[in-house]
Amino acid sequence: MRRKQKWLVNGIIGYLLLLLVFTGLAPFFTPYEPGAVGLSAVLQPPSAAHLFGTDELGRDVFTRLLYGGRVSLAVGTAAMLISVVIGAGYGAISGFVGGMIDRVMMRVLDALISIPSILLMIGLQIFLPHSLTAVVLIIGMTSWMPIARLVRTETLSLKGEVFVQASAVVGASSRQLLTRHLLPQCLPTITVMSVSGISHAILSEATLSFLGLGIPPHEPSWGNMLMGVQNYVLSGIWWIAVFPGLFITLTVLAVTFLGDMLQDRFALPQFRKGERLL
Amino acid sequence: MNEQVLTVKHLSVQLETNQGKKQLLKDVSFNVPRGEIVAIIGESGSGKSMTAKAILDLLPRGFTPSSSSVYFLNKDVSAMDKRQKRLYRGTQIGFVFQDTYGTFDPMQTIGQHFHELFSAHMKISKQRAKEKTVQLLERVQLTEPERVYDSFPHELSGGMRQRVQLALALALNPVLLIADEPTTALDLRIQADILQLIKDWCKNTGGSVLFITHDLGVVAEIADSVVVMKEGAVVEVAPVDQLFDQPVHEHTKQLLHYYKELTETPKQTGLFDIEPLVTVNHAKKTYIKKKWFQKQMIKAVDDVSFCICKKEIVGLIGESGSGKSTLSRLLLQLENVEQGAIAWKGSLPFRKGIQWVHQDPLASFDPRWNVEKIVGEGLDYWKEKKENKHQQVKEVLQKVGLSENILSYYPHELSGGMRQRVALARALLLEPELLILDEPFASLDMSSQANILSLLKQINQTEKTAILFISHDIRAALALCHRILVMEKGRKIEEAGAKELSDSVNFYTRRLLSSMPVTHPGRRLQKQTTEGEREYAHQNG
Amino acid sequence: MIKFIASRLAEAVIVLFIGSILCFAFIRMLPGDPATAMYGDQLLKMSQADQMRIVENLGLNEPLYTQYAKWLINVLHGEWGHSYTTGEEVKVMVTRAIEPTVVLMLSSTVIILLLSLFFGMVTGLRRYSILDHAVTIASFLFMSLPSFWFALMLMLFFSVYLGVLPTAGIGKEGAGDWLKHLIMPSLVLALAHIGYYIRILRNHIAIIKEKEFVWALQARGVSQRKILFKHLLPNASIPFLSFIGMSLSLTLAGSVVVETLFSWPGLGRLSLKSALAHDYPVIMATILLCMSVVIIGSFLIDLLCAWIDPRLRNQLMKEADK
Repeated sequence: MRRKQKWLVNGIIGYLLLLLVFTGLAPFFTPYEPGAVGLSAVLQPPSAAHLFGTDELGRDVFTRLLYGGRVSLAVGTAAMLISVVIGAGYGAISGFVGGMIDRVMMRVLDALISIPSILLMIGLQIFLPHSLTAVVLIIGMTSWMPIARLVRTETLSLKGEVFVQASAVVGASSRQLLTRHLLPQCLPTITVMSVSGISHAILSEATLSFLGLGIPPHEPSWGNMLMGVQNYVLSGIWWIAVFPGLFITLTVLAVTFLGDMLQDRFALPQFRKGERLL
Repeated sequence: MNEQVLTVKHLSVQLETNQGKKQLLKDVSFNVPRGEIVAIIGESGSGKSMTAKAILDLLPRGFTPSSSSVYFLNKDVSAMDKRQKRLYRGTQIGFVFQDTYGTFDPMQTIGQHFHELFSAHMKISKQRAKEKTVQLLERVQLTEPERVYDSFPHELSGGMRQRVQLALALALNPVLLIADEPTTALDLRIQADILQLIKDWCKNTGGSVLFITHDLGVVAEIADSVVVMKEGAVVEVAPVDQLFDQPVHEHTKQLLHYYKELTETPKQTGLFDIEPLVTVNHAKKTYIKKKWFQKQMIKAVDDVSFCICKKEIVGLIGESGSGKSTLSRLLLQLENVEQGAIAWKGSLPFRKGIQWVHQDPLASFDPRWNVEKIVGEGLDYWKEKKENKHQQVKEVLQKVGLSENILSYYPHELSGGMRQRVALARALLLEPELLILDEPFASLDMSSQANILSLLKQINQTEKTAILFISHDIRAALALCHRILVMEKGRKIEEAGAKELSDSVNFYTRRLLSSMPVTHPGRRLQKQTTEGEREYAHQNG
Repeated sequence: MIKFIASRLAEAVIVLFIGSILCFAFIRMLPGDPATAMYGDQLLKMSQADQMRIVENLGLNEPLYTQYAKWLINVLHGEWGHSYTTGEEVKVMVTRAIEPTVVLMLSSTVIILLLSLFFGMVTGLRRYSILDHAVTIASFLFMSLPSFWFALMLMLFFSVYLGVLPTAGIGKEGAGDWLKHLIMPSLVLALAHIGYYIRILRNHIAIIKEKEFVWALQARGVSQRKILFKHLLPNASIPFLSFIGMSLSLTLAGSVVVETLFSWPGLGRLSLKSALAHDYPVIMATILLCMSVVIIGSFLIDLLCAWIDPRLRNQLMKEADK
């Protein structure tokens, strides 16, 4: 079991590092420009010249994947940061203040959660201009709710812990209780949520862009490379759909596993390697 | 009459881990004769519970027992087939655990538990099962068996659940009852009742009992013969009188020594200052429990007055729910009194002067902090003492008998006794004048109890710290305290010097005293007669 | 118990109310003008008076809260207004879309329940076995698949290469055809979340399996099968059920993508289409409907959990009394 996990950890970290290197240094790995249109070589299947084939405008799929990876990863990380800040703030305030404010905040949260997220995103998308920043904002502003709920639960349960009272007895003020005990206790949860937030954001970006609501087409992203591919897929042109999706899946999988392992690492010392609820 | 119900012969248990094999039980052998109560006594980690699980052949995965080591009525348990084993576990042996809550399926009523047990081993109608259950529940002296039948486990108190467990264990008239620390988590009075029930069952049906405990008092009260275990091996087997009078093994002698320390009431009492440290004046605290449309007021602390003087050790005795923990929280200013006042040397309470050791020290430590941070935390909040914190922490650890090696340990890596000491160290670091100890002996081994007891006495003498000792264990309070307060249902019902308390005429106090287990098996009979006389005297004014 | 149900119900109504205000306010803040949405470029060619008349007709010149109040009263009377784009009655459009969505959700729920109960139980009982590792990896994989891409891959395989399954619409030529059309969309919808269900059940079974009461049941000679079905499963079912409640909105969100891809004429496709066309009455109706489904669904699941678990019942009733 142990050895297998080590192998898995190495594999995941290796993949993510390679991905960062390849996308970050994209010009060194491909002779093509991501936007270069080649009308002489439209919809070419994979070959030595075009590793993953070309798309309907004759652009090299491999090249666009590398450049698109930059956008997808950046959007994922930035959107996650926004959602974590909103979510953790909302949850901590609600849990720490308690009472009527907590109740109202929780009912608002319930209402927001019950609206299917994609509809919220589409709504916001109409509201904001069609740009990369807008996509980041949209995803960030529609995915903070689960984090808020979790942080609130955590804060609430910590408030009643004996060790918090014990440190009040040795003289800690309530500000000191918050900074020395409550916040550090919440930090692991927030970190783990952040990592899984990246997966969520990458998937959301892909879905939005696929629906034509995400990243504008002139800038490649893994999502918008899949925009409008349905008809090509149905006529058997598989390469323009398979490779971007494969990269999304692999990356999200790697990040999800990473989050899972972080959860293990951050678990209380006595629960390490123990069982999680998800 | 000397037939052996259970024979354990050269039982060994191995655990296979990544690091290799680990021997948990080594060559354990003993017998349980018909109609006798055999006690296994040992500290935690001595392998006594493991032995019980091995007897049922229900060890967790990865634990391998030696084969053909357990014989029940001369049949080899490991050679039984699946059906025979189920029958053996279910009908021949009854089992009672320490944990009164965890052993019930929280989603099923008590009645369903019984019905399941019956229908696993016989054909029985629901009606008949209920009748039988109610009878059984009556037999363990539950007052409203019908109500208990329909209750869920969480709706019953710990003592009630333990009675139900006993009824479940005895439901199918087993030949052998195995009880694994059945009274450790309970109040002394309930302990006395449960022990009496087991004794009666044994006498009336001729069944045998294997009783696992860490408390020599319980052994003295109930056992016919004793198996002493240490680190997975049996060190001594003897009839109970012989064990108390002529212990052979060093470990047994050690245990008896600790036990004596814990049960002896010190000779000198009342040698303390009369300068009051804390005075509690008519303190009152009520909790409101709303139930449907009516509000229920629970008087947790009801008009309690007392004082604690400098250098004094005061015991606060009461059963669970008597309000003693609430009182301690009031003293610590974790909650405020509704009426009355708590004054510290005549003025308002003063935080640093009162320190606290919680009954569950592990819960009172931030799980992500190491010992150095935990113990030193107090200094961070009091500016004038901040310098050479490391040195101060080391010194205070030494004071409570811990080496500085443990500074980098995390709470979960410490043993129960060590945790208690660390909590004590954290409190002592601030040089308090009053130390509040909330059930410090709960869940500790006898050796740790005895050690902490002498440590507390020593601290009281050298540091001149006053101590408020809160416990349900009147025995420990008698051994430690100068003066004892008895609480019942939020009221203080008695206050007396430790020596005078044993002659108390208060009915409730007498009951508490009589629930203490005897200190020597020879006193069993004697206790029964004196109690009878006293009861008689009490009733006749 | 009645009080508990009442308080939960009141809570659900409050949440719905807040949600409707949020939606309404939010949508009204959008830059897209409903008058433009309805008449397009024609609006520019109209006279000033005509434009005013249209705005007045749509009630767009009144203050927002009046507009909301009017709209709410209408909604409560079953009057949902007309679509800005097609002019059709919203009620008719929405009612027509409900059935396909319900069919899709039900079939995917059946798939989820069957697969996750089986695999969750087996892997929870036999943790770290080969099957467990395989199921774990598969669960994580399904969690990571973008569902639209997964749908495309299924289409590629089953429709393009094998040519056995149709890619769009609802089958109208008999039960076989209907089923064939249903397979892929419901599979995509189910598998998108099945990983979570399996993991939750597996981990809880594994935790409960180690509880002392299971040991006690064995010691009382109760058979393994009975322990599994009468004790382990009910105890593990609470977190499992509450996750179903929580993931209702996830599943609905998933159905937006899946229905669009498979041209499934349900609520999801309708909401996306109307959102893209700035068709406010339809968006409001679909969002409110989705919200009500989620809120009522989680309310029912809360009741179910409280009915199954006496401890939860106790705790929830205490909360209701506060």
